[in-house]
Amino acid sequence: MEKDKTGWSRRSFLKAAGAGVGGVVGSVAFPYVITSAKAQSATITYLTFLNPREKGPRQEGTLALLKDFETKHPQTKVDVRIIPWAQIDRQFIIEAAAGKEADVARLNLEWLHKHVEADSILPLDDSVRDWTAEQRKDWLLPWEATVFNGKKVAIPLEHRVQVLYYRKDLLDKAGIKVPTTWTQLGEASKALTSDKMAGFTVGLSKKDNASNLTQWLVPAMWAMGGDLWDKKGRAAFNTEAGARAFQFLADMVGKYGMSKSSVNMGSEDLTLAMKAGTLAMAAMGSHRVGTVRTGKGIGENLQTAPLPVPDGGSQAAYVTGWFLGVGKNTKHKAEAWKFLEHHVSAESQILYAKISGEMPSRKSAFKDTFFQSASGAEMKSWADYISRSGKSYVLPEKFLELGELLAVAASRVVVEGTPVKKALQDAEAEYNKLVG
Amino acid sequence: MPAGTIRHADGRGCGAAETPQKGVRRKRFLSPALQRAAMWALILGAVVMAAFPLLWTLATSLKPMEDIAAFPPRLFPERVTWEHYLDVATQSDMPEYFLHSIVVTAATIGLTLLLATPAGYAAARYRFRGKNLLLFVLLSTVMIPGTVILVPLYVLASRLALLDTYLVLVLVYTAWRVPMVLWIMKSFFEAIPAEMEEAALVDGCGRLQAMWRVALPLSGPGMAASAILVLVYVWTEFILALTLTSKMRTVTVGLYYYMTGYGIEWGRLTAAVILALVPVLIAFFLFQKRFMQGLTAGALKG
Amino acid sequence: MKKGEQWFALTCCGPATAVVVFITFYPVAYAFGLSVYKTNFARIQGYVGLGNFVRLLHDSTFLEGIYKSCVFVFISVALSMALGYGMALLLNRDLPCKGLIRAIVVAPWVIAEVSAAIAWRWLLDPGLSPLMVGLRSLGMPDLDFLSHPIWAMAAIIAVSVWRFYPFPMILLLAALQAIPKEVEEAAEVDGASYWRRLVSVTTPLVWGPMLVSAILSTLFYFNKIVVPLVLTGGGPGNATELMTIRLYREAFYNGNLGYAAAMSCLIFLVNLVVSLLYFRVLRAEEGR
Repeated sequence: MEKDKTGWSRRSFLKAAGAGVGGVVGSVAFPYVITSAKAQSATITYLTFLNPREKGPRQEGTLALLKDFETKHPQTKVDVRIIPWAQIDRQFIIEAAAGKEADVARLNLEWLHKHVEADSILPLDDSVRDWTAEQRKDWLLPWEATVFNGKKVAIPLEHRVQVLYYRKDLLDKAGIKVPTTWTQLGEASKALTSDKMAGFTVGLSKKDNASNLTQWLVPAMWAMGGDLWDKKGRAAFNTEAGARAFQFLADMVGKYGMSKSSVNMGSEDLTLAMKAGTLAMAAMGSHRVGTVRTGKGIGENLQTAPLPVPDGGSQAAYVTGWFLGVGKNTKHKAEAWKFLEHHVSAESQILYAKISGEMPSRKSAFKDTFFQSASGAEMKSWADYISRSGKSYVLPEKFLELGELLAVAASRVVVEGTPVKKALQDAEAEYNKLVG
Repeated sequence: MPAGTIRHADGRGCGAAETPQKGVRRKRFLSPALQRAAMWALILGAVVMAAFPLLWTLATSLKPMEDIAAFPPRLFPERVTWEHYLDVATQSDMPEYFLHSIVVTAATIGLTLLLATPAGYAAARYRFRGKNLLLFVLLSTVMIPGTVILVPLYVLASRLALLDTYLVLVLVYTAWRVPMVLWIMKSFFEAIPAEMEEAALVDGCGRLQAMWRVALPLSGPGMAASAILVLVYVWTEFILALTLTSKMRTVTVGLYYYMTGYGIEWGRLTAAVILALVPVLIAFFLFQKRFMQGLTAGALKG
Repeated sequence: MKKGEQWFALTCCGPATAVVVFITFYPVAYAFGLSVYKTNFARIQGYVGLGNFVRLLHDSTFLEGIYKSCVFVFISVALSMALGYGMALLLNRDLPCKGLIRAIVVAPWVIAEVSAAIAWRWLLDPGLSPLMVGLRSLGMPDLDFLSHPIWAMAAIIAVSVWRFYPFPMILLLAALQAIPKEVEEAAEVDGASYWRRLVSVTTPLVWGPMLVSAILSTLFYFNKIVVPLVLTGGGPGNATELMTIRLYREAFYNGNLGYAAAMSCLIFLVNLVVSLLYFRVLRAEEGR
């Protein structure tokens, strides 16, 4: 086709036609060939966001667990598929609706109710029928928290709690104590902000499901005795508590030096910034410490502490986590369950925690000596923080939309200078319209 | 022709400066030298504007991590490193995505040519009942862009169990490009005189044979133009591939997920962008003439 | 017209037409059908008749999205046409390396929108971009384009135009090159200045293709989704949430496919109106 000489074009037309027909035939046949080959050797697909081929503590932990599984179950091959964490749940639901979801997937507990509603995961009652009462009590979260409509639908894989990340060396150098209230946090942030360093930043972007913002606001509201949503799932943030929370965000920018670029930041950006040493403090899930510590010059200079509370408020810990779900349409139910069981066993959780820095979800895992050692003590302190101040909760159906509206409101307050009351009112009206 | 006018310069250099005809007063906006300088400045500006973002991406992909984060940023890498390219080639799934893109692109080119060439031929050579209606229908696909049918296509593909297959992408891309290719082939066929086929018909060839033996061999340039346009389109298509594929991701979707994955590591991301750019840019530079030909023949209509 | 010809021609055109109609037209009808249901991802949850459309009319984010799309389209088309025509005029001369120059200028149009958006996102990075160096040297503070509602919109317009203006440029260049040289020269001999010639002689001659390019560009810009999605994701807040972005978010983030189908229908109507204008102009042009 590339030659100008006209004599070539008939041959090229044939080639093109052949390619076309071949392409069509091949594209129909190719996937069938692959899938039938897989079915024969009992290969299960595992959908996750941690790529075992990449560098990083959590990725290496994932690889270690996979290798351990394949050693113990040599007949089962695992085919890993990667989707970014903010998209993995909706991708799974979409694929389940088409009957093509993975056999086992790492899914977000924040999306559990959506999975149940979309009927994308398999209830596990058959597989856990023989579990003793002791086994059922062995979890940081109550057993019933993942039982919907009488069915056990998820077993948590690991947990994380929102904590304050801070650079101990920077705080020490400036002679600041670890902040425990919002005022102290603001002052510390102001003191640490410079040309090359941002003090404290909350990610206000709506990307990644607005997760950094919602994970900041939820415990903030709890600390003041309020909540973002009420029992009926309607907006509960247009209150004094909500106004205080948003006013703090405005003050962070106005008084305490938080950059307006925060409207475009999410947890990923904050992690990168802390890792690069350009951010002194942030509020994030406890699971990222390993990653941040790999930054040059960071290491043990990064420490965590319970979240600062609004002045006069009480401690509240926001626990989230991931679970392994079995796809509703899986054709390898036995193997998928074995995979799940392996990964949530105490042994695996200890192995994973040591490498990745992610907290186990089983109480018995914490009995391991690792958690008495210096490196494990941090994780133990998070578990204690959870037992002291953790609160159980049920997310509203329109949680995603809520996050988006809150991010828009925060952006309006911070960037456009909209009065807090108005921004909250508008967001409340929009949200209640959705809930109906 | 009056001598000395700029327009009659040969292709190499500028011609002689304009000399005013005797007796004709002319208002000059700027002196010719200034005019020329301004023109070149504008052209240079356009070239820089076009190339700079891509060159900056290229430069970033060749810098080691520390240099990328350094401020002030330097335009040219001090040290050139290939580590990001190696990362992308060995540690990511991009090679797999390249394979998917290549398969889908090749199949779409083949299928589009297969369907649209005979149709373009018939439209060029014959008047038949329904021809105007057909052409109008094809033309009106311009009012149905991807974003409008994204949602129904997704639901349809889901219902037909075609999600995440090569087939669904090839079919949709083909359907989207057939109107343009048909128009291109039609104008190329129209440019070929019909006498030779008529002679063949007189000699006893069937119509199919006339097309096959006489017209088709002459349509090489048309097919080349169509092929390069379809290639550029399919290789760079994003939104449909994002919606309809998961494991069978194409390169463009892979780039997006690379970006939204675990924070943005600019070294690797820019390397991946360059790798995805290279095939298309090479094809474009090599077959530029065909590309432009195809565009002017078919673009107004497709 | 012999009977055999008719049959032959229809066979030649049949498969192509069938593929196009089934994959392009049928889904539009399907979208109308889908829009009367309430859905959760791909599961139908109930029949709501025109409920989705009523909800759309009260959905302030979507209505704002239409407004933002209009602003986006208007400015982008104006800029692309101006730049396209300008470059076409510049390139319509005998220049050295004309082919190379043209190739470089057209290159942004050839690369993927994703690649362009990523390249520009990097270029607009507030900390590390050479643009910031330029701004600083002009004495201005570092500007984070993408976190400012107005500048973010400017950014997506700039990137879209950067990528797309070669399209009208090529069409107008072809039109300019079709003007016989005698016409230009006659005007020159008559003593008209460059600008006079441009306005009174050249431009009226390419008016047809110009109108066609403008309308096609409008059509394309209304449906742009990739650059805003990748560059800003609709942010900051909702500043760049065009109606196409809203559609995508509603369909594939929130999973409301029925509601999104209703949005698709509305966007289709917008396209329909602009296309009808396009057909009118085309017919007028062909009449010339």
